[in-house]
Amino acid sequence: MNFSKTGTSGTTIGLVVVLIVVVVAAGAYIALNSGGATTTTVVSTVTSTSTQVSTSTQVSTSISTSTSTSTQTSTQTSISTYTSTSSLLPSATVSGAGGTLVFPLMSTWLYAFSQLQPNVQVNYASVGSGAGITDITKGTVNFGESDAPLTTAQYSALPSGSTLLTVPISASGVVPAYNIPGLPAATHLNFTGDVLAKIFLGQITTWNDPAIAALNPKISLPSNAIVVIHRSDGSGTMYAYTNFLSDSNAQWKSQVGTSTTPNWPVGTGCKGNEGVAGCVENNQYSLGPLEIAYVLTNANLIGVSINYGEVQNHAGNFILASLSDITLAMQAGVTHGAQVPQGSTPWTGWSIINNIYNDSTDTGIYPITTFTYALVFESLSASYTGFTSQAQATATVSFIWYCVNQGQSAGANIGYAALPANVVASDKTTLSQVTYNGATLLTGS
Amino acid sequence: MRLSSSKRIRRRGIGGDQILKGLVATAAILIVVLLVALAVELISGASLSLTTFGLPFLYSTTWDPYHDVFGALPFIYGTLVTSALALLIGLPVSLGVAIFLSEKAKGYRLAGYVLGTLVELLAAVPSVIFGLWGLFVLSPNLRTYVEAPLHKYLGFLPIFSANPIGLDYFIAGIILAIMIIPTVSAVSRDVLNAVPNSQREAMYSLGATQWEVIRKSVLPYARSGIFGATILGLGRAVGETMAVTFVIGNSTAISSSLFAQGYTLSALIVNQVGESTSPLNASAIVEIALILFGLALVINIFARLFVVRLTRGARFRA
Repeated sequence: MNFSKTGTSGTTIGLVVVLIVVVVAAGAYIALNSGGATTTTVVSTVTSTSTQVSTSTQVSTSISTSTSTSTQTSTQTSISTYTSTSSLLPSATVSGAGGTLVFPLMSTWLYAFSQLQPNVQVNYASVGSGAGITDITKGTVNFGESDAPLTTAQYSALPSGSTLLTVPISASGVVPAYNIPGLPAATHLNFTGDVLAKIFLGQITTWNDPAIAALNPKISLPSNAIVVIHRSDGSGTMYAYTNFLSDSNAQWKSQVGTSTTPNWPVGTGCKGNEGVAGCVENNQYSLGPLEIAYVLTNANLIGVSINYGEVQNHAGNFILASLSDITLAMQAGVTHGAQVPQGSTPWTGWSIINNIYNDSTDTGIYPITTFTYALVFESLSASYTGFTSQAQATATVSFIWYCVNQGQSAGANIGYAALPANVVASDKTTLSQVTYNGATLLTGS
Repeated sequence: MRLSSSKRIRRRGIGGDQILKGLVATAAILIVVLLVALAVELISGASLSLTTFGLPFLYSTTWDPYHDVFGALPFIYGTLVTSALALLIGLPVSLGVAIFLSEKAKGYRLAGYVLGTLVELLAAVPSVIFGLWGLFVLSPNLRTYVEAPLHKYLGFLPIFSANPIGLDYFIAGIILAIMIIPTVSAVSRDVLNAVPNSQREAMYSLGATQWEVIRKSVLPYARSGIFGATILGLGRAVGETMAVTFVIGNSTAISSSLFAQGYTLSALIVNQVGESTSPLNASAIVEIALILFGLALVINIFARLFVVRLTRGARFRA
């Protein structure tokens, strides 16, 4: 690969530089003139009012109130009003690791918390729920984050005598997104869990199948084959989606089950929510599950190339997912069905979806709703937790409490529903169990 | 007198030589140690899966984390198919580029330099960019203009039988071909340049055309070197991760159709590491990595043995 023949090396270098400049210029020209194809706008139907948290820069205590309401067509609104006293914490570094579903919201929390508590440095590694669970088990991080509760195998891998607390910090919904050319944007197809399960099992193969047509009598469905899209990477969104399909269809439950990485019988895997959205957009007559936060923050896509459908809840209503319906599902999820596990009771198999699946009284709930959880040990002074000081322990608990409490208002603009009051109260009870050398760490109301 | 002065010089030099020898030997041993350590780590990480499944792991087709049943055949199949396709498409193109650069460009030095630089710039493009470009640019165009017509008119053939959606073995093979072109062509070009001019001159003097010279004299002489270049390209294709993950379709089903979705060893690792639901799951993923490692080793060892036999013991010309 020797180019330095005499006389022409200078010309070569010059030519190559010119070529690079031309290519870069062309690229810049194209990028500037292609328009804002990827600008993100918030859907106008989602409105939330919140009074901002005041940041404290002095040593004195400051009281901050945060109110968030989301106005929707449903009559029930979730109003969470919390007060917390925040005094400056001593300097500490907190590290967390876990799933990617909550990462956009977590980034907002990290920034806001650093404004509130300038002496505390919190880091979060978005490495996947499984890695987050492994890390907290080994004590290499201060808190873990997972889109699915620990499995039995993961609980038995925990250090003996330890109690790992599971704290819901946010929620997500999964919507069935599809690309059917010719359908008007205002039309949303109806789906049930059973029909979705059969599509993803490969039993229903065309859009005009009688089962789908029966749910959508007024819409003329095409006869094309359904192009099934799913996630290729491990995903909490898929955990919730397969949870819903397992509840809806016995064959799905036995053949595939509920998992972040299920063995999909049919379909194409695309990486990340962006991948699924891109695959659905690029393939006509395709169907794929998308996370609600992604859909709401990329509203420019919706109705243009892809649309999402309504899913039937047990009350018989077809619900188009929105933040308020998800909040309703959260409220119902912790009051109906299996009790929220307390103390050292394992959370394996517990889910909102399981609890609300047979709930016919709450008419407005969106059935494919899932929590995402923070994981923290109960007794932080134990050696297996990896904590080095009380300041670090206090900072960790304060951060998680901030996320659960004041931080919830930050979610509305980026597509995350706020935790309802009963969930926050339950989280507060759980976090009050966290101790360091016997002393409770959660201070403030 | 001369003897004693030369003895003095030799004594001054001995210390430096020994240090140099020591340093160089350490570097060489370090490489061996690294390779062995890598193999040991992979085997120990995969031990749970190796003892649970044994040999059937290699030909079992189910990959189900929920039921804790794992098998590697879909991924081995996908890796082999996409790599073979990459070689099939990439080798002729690379040879063409190499022949042009070494034979034809002698009269057009500037064009030769620019083309050579551009081909090497292709190697500098990160693989994830190839993946994105493949997903957003190549995939829709390929599906509309190549795959759909092939499926429509030649769909009765098994390799074109699946309904094309633009994410399949075919496009993964094409992208891998593009990625191995720089490697194979650069090495081939060097090999062709190393063919002594006496070979060419002898053929010319017999009245051969330029193409005959290349075909009958230059290429056979450079055969083992080009084979070595091919194996280097194959090694890159087998391990290529991000470019393939975006466009392979990520399906664990095995299909004989080029237009069906598939999976490769490296794509599985990148998709599922960090989401393991049980120790057996994590161990199975490490065993997949071990298989990939072993595959790369086997390919290279086989290539070397083949080349030694081909050149009848002459040194491997890489």
